[in-house]
Amino acid sequence: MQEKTQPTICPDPQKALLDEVLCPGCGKFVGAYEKCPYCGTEMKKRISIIFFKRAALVIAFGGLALLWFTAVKMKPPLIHVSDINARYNNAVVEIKGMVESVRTKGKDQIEFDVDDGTGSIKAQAFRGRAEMKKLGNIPRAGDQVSVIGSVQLTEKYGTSLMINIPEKVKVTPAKCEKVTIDKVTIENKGKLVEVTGEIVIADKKDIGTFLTIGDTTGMVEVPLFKSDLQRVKDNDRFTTVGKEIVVIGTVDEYKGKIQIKVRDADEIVTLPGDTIPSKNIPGYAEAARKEKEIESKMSPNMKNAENIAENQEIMAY
Amino acid sequence: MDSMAALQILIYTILGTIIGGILSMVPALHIFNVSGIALLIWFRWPFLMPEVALPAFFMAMLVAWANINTIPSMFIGAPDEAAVFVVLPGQKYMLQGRGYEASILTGVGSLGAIVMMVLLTPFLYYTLPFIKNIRSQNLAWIMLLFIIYMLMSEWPKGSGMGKTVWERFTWAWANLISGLTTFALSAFLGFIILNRTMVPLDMSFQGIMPVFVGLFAVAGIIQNLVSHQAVPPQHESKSIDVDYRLLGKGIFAGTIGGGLASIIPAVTGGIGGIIAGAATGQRDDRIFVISQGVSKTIYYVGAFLLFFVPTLMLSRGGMTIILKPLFTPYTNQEYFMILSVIMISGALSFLMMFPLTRWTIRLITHVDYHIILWIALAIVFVIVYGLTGWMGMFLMGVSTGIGLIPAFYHSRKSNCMAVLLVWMVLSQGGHGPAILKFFRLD
Repeated sequence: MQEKTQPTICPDPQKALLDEVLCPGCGKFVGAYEKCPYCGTEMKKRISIIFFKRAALVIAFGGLALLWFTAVKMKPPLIHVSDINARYNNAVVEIKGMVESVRTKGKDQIEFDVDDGTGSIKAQAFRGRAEMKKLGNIPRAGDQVSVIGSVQLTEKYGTSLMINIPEKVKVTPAKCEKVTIDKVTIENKGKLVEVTGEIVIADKKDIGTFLTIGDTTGMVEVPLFKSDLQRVKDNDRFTTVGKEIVVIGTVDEYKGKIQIKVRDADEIVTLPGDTIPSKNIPGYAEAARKEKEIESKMSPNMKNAENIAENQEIMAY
Repeated sequence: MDSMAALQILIYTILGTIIGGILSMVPALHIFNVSGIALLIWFRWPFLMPEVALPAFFMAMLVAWANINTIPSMFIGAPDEAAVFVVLPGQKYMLQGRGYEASILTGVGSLGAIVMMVLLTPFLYYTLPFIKNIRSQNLAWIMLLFIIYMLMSEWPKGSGMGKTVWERFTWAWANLISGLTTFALSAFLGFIILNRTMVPLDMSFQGIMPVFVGLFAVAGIIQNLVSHQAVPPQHESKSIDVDYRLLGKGIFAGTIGGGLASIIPAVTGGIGGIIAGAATGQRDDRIFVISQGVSKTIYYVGAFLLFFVPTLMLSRGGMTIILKPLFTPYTNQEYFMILSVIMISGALSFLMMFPLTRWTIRLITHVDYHIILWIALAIVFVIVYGLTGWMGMFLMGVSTGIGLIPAFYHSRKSNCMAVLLVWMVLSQGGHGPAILKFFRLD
C-alpha cells in the first residue's frame, strides 16, 4: 500500500498544548493551576470547563422557562385566507369566517370549509369529532367559526388548516330566518334560511336527488347529494313528489341558478298536511309536466332497482 | 418529457451537486437551511430555474450533502442529527492519522446506499405500500419503541469510578441523568415550537430550523471550540482497510437503519444505524463507519425518494416538507427521472469527496481549526438571523443550551431528537390536547 504523508506546516499542536500546562517562569509542569505552585508565576488565564457545563444548564433551563412563558402569553395570530402562501406552511394561526359546508369521514374525522371573505380554506381534524360533539362545537353550514390550527400546504391537496385541539373551534350559530321562496335571491346569498315548500320535482340522478320545492311565492331548487342522503334514515320521505317539507340551508348559486344548500339533511322535516295548494304555486303546471317527463325517462333498470329496494324494505319490515 | 426538459434536468442536477457539495463543506450548515434559502431566492427570481428542474436540483443538493457533509463533521466537528454517531469513530481514525480513509469509507457507504436504492425499486413499488398501511395504524407505539430503545441503550459510562459507594453511584448515574434531562428538555421544547409559531409567520416553513441548528450544529461548534484537540499528520491512503464481506455487512446494516429512519417519522439515520447495527450484531468500527454513511444517505435521500414512488407517495423528511407545497409527483416517469438524478449526483459527489477531503486535511493542518469554527458560527448566526430574526436567535440559543448538555455531561446527542419524537408519539396516541392543556399551551 502506497502512502503519502502531508507535511505539517502549522506549529506543532502538541507543543502548543504543552505551553499551556508548563510554567513560563520555571518551566515546571503546573497542569490546570492558575498560579505556579513552585515559583508563584501567574499562569495565562484559562476558562474552566465547569463554567461551560453550568452555563449550558442555566441556558437550557432558564431559556426554556422564558420560552414557555413567551409561548403561553403568545396567542396564534389571526390571519386572512388570502394571506397564506407556501412560506406559511406549518404556521399555527387563527382563521375566522363562515362555514360553507361540513363533511364527516371515518370514525372520528371531520372537515369543514371556512370562508373569511378573502377566500376559503378547509379546516380538518383527523380525530376529534366525538370530542367536538361532546363539547357541542361541531359547526354547521352558515355558522360563524373561529378556528386555530396549523397551515398545511401541498400541491396535491391544496391548503388546509389542521385542527390539533378540538376545543379551539369556537362556533357562533348562524341566525336562521324563516322566509318565503321569493326571498331566496342572489342578494341573500350566504344567508341561512328556513323555507317550507311542496316537492314539485324530484329528479333522481347518480350523484343524488335534485328537488324543486314551491310555495305560493315561487319555486327553488334544493340539491340533496348522495353523501347527504346516505346519512339519513328513511330518506324517501322527503323525495316524494307532493309532500311538504321544511328545509334549512344557505342561499347559494350554481351556474347562475339560485338554490338552497341544505345544512344537514337530517334537519329536513316532512309535514303531515297539505297547507300549500298545488294550484297556488306559480309555474306548477309546467313543473308537473317536467316531473312526468323525468319519470318517463327514468331507465327500467333504475325503476327495477327502486322496486327491489322497496321489496327488500317490505321484507325487512 | 421532451429533450429540452431532459437537458434542463441534467444541467440543474450537475449544478445542484456542485452547489450542494461546496456548501456541504461549511461545518454546521444544514441542507434544509440551504434549501430554505434557495427556495426564497427562487420565489423572488423564478426565472433562475425552470419549474421542471426544481425537484432535480433539490435532490442533487441533498445527495451531495448526504455524501460530502461527513467530511466537515468528521474533521472539524458540528455534525447534524444524522451524523452524530459517526463523529466519534471518525475522530478515532483521524487521531490515528487515517481521517482520509474514514472519510472515503463513509463515501463508499453512500455509494452503496445509492446502489441499494436502485435495487430496491420493486420493493418500494410493491411491498412498501403494505408496510406503509401497517405503519400508519401502529405509528404511535412503533415510535414509542424507538424512544425506549434510545433511553435504555444509554449505558453508565462512569461506573466503577470514585472511591466511595456514593461517588461510584454518582459517576454511574451522571450521564444517564444527563441523557434523561436532555430528552425531557428537548421534548418540552418540541411541545412549544410545534404548537406555537415562534418565528415570523412568513418564515413558518423554516420554523424548526433554528432549533435543529442550536441542538446539533451550534452545540457541536461550541464543544469543539472549548476543546484543544491536536490534529496529527494525516495519511492519504490509496486503499481502504475493508474486504467485500465487511463492505457488504456495512451496507446491509446501514440499509436497514436508513430504511427504518426513512419511513418512521422523527427517527434519524444515526439512530436507525445504531439500531440496525445492534440488530445485526455488528462490532467492527469499519462496518460502523460504512453503515453510518449508508444510513445517512438513505435517511435523507431515500426519504425524499419515497415521495416519488407513485404507489406510495410517502411524505417523509425535511426536503419533502419544504417542497410539498410546490409540486407533487404522479407518474413512473418522474420516479425514474429522480432515480437517475440520484445516480448522477451520487457518482459526481463521490468523486468530489476525494479532492474535498484532501483540501480539508490541508486546511486543518495549515489553519487553526478554531478559526474555521468561528467562521462557521458566524455564517450560521447570519443565516438564522436573516431567516428568522431575533426570535429565531432566541430559539437557537435555548436549543444550544440543551444541545450542550450531552456534549459536556457525556450522554448521547440523539436524545435531542425527543424534540420531535415525543410530541409525535403523544399526538398520534391522541394525548396531544391533554398535554398542551397541562402546559397551558392550548
